[in-house]
Amino acid sequence: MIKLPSPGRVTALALVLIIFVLPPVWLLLSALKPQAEIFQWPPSLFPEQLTFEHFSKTMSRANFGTYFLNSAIVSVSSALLSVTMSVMAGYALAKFRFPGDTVIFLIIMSAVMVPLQIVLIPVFLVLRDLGMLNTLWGLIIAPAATPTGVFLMRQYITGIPDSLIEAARIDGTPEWRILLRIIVPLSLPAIGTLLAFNLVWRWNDYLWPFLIVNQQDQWTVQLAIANSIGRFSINWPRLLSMTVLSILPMLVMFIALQKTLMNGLMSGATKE
Amino acid sequence: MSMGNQTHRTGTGSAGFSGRLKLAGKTSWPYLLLLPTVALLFAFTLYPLLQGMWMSLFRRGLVVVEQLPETTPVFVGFDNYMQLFGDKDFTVSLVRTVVFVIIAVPLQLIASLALALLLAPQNRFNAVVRTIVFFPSMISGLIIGVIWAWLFARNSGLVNYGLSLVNIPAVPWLEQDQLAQIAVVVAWIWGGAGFNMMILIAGLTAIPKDLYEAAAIDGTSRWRTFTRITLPLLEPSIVVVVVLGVIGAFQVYEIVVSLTTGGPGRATVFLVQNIYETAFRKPNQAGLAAAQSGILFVILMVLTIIQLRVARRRG
Amino acid sequence: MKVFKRSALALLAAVALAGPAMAAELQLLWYVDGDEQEQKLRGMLDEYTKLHPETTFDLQITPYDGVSEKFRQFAASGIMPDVSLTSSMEPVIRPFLVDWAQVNGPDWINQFVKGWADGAKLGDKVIAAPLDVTAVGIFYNAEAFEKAGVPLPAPGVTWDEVLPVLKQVSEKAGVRFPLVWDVSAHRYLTYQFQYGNHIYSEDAPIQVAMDDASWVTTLKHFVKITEDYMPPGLWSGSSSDKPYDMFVNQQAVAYMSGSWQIGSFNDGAEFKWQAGPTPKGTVSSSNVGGNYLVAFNTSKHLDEATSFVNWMTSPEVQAEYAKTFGLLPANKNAPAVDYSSPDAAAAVKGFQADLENSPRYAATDQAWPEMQAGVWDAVKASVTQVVAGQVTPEEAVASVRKAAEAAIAASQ
Repeated sequence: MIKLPSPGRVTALALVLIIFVLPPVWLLLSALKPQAEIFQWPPSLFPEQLTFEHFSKTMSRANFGTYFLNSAIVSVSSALLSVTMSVMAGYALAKFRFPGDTVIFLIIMSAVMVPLQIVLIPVFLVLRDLGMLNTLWGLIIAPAATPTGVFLMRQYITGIPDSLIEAARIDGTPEWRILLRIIVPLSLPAIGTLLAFNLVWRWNDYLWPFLIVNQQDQWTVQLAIANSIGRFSINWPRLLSMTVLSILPMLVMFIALQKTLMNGLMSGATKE
Repeated sequence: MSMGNQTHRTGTGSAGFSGRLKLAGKTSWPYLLLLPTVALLFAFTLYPLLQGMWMSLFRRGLVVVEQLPETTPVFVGFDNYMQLFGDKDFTVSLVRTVVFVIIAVPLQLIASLALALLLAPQNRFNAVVRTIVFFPSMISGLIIGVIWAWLFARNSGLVNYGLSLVNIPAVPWLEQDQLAQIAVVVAWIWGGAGFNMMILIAGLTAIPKDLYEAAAIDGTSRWRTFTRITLPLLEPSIVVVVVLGVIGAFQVYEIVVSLTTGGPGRATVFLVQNIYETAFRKPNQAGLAAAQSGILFVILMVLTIIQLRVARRRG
Repeated sequence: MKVFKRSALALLAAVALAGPAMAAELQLLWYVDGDEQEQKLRGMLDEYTKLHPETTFDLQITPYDGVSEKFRQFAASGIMPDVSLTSSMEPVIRPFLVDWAQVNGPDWINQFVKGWADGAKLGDKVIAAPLDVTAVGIFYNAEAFEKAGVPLPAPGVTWDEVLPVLKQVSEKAGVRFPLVWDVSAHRYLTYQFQYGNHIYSEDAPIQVAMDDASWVTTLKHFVKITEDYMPPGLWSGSSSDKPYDMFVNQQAVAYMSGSWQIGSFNDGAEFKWQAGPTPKGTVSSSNVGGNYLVAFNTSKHLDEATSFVNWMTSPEVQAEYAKTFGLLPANKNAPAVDYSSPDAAAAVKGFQADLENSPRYAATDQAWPEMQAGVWDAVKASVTQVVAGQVTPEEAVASVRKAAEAAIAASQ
């Protein structure tokens, strides 16, 4: 919209950067300090003694790779499943009128209205009855239906002109093809955004793994992070280094996804 | 996408909240599309939720154990709900939560919208800044609280240290009632602005460029372009941000627990923390906690319906 | 009762049938304060497996904060581990716990430190095995005292005497704060104990034994200490300043915490520290705490589980456990523990003496199961809300009494 950077724009950008960059940078710098320096007073902004000890200790921990692998398997599978389901449900709610549509939409939305913390015991019993305890499958399937995702897709798909779908119908295109060939390509920005969200949500899940998994070889990164908080003390070097490491895959994913998304948008634009 | 203006054509005003023109579909197709979502939600959220609502009609422990007679449910009808009216901890935390929602949600919308407009143009630099702004959404609320608590620590935080360098005395960011409440609002907005920004950018991307080109040719002012083109066409995305913002703000919990743990005193105890403490820390009050959840549920349901209806009318 | 009879029968049957031992993998639920502890624990489990090759372990680590949620899941679902570490036996799991009075006889529990052993009793039953004991007490930065040229407090010193000394040391030695104090109900209650105040009666039947006026006076004193000697706002309930880290970074002259810190100070502190003498009020008092092991009567390997617990709580292993983790053994018959450093050994000795010299209520108060039903939270809120200026000390003490009475009512 605005082509050249104006002074106002530069100021705004600088402000945004300060507010959003400082806290994570502080986190990273602290993770690079020796334990005694982390809570030193007066605080040192930059590590006086740069150390990678916390990272190497965290990474050399026997199961570190396993936790990351588990987290990766679970979050990627669950996110893909979730986005697929959200596109399907969002499309149905945005473009079809059928008996019970409003009620179904409200029922779906009602699932975000009470926090999970409050219904943990009944959820645990359901997981037990479905045989999902202590399985990665449980971690993938249980959180895969997301009302937020359905809502997001419904709102976005609503903006796709009905005429495109009508035209395809007149041509005799099967319904599944309309979804795959018209709705999905036109929803790419929303799908990409939702995929990023889902990956982040599932990567950060703590309550689901806490409920489902007991065995240490099925731990996810978040369970490992939570275990740096002990009864009497917090293992700050571990907590900080684990947190920094746990964010890295998300950063890489986000940057990669943005790039793909931008390319997708460009190619989509030329086709239209 | 040249027919973008059609997206905001007023619907026929009949069934469905969007009120947009709906396609008469093949009968079973939309149900099939919805089946996986509804089935999973039913098993893992709605069914447990219904059980929770049922619990609110009993006086009972959180877990019923056969051998412990005191945990056996006793039907009390709506007594739990009645009791809540006189429960000061509950009413105070409810009012506090409502105030939080009224302040935090609009502020977050404005911040997210500003960020989205600033960073929507697709270029490399914006992509980097966007990643930075989205960063808080990549970490859990717990860690967000930990980071801010640390920065704002009265006697060991970086912020007060910075102030001390210019001879400003330490500010009790987290130790004074109003300041702590403001700190929660700030951390909450910081934590969620990137998420909302991405939704709004996805919405902005869908607005056809030719509309802006036409406006530019007509010599329309920038503000007018914003209010006449951008805002109306962005409305579906704004609805997402507001509806999810209200739902999320009513449930603010994780961030508070790690930022202030509800203090100073009980000055930042919001509704969900109060429910949690009632259920887990007090004996045999699971029914009372469930009744509080029930009230939270009804409030959110009503607000969501109202918001969606308003959005439809305005279309 | 039925369950206990049934489980006792099952136990007998299992013992009778055992003959040549069968392979058993015991599920252990545990929480740790860091990797080193986990490694040390695994070492001890391996040692047990070497002695009893038929028994192996499936160690399930969970955050301490998650233990009570796990217990609720166990009770609701019937899926339980064989043995768990815990600091409190919550009502929902009590029917599922092995009764040690039946397994080992009624006198077995008497070999453990009295206050903590009492907490394991439930009527005639003994539902837990004491594993380790903790005491609340003070740590001094001895180096700061040296620097200030002030002698360390002598045994029998009172709070009124010690506080000005701490302030003096902090000024002379350039240490930021005279005192830091764990923001915890358990640590604050110790201060009330030191002025003769406690919550419940020492003997059954349980009743609230609070002298409200005395509680209020003591609470006011405590709030004054937080204002005059501690980092500002530390006890507001929302402070993110960390007492432990402040002390370790030499920003505080003294630290009111407990015996569980010995191990980490011994490993990590870069200055000379000393544990105790803990100042007294009108009486001297510590506060008992610690951990238990519980075995679940739903276990398929009940005899293996009980023999493992018996091994962990036997005198010799207790000494080893205490040494490995820098803790106080729960078993009174444990041979003298050979702690690795003289500082640690002196600290342990001091804390053990503190426990012995404490009034009975320092043990009985926390041993009443009613304390778990919301009383601890009320105790902590009573201080933080006064510090934050939200309630008067009188109202705060009244709320503690109310919670204490509600807990009794709920258990009857």
